[in-house]
Amino acid sequence: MKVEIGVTMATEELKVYFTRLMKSVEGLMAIVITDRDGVPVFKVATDQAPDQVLKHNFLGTFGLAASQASKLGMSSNKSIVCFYEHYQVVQINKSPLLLTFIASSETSTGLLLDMDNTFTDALDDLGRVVGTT
Amino acid sequence: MSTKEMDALLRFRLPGIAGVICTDEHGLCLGAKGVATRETSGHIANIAESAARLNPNLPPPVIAIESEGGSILIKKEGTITMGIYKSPN
Repeated sequence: MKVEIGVTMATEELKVYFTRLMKSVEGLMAIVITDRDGVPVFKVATDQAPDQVLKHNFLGTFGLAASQASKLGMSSNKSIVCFYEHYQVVQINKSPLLLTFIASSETSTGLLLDMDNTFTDALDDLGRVVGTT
Repeated sequence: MSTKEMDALLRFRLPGIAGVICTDEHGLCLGAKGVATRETSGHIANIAESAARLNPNLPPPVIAIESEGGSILIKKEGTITMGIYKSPN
């Protein structure tokens, strides 16, 4: 029971932290952290985020794309940026985690590409959990 | 601005300049020299974009960020944003 309460509190804290982070970048609609197979570990999203990007088939595709891109002889793939008419999706490979940022096409791509450095500690903790399971 | 011009700016023209960075409208780095790192391009572009919105009727302002370790001048010109890192005097 104590452990459960502890986990719930940690999740709530993470949610507050990532929601604040998401709101600090204009146009950012969702932050999704998944394992290497695209299974969501943690996600925060605004109402504006398109539904399909939060689904398993979308998130799983990046894991595949990243592993294929890593076989092109240019060492392992670090990030993939997909530009659409109204949206952009920035996906960063932080093994064993994959970070997905869904934002408006107007949002600064460079800012999103550097966002993983702003929450390294939280990522290390989450990575440890995923790495051991 | 080509990388050659960036080099010239750093080495000969203006003493006290420690680094130069150029970004495009997406905050992606076009070039970085000296102490400026490529990872900061998004932040530089974002600061310039936010400052320009303070008064949309005026041309984009020059932003000076001062600290004990030096200062950074940021200016947006069209789709290009430039940041100049100055070492403390």
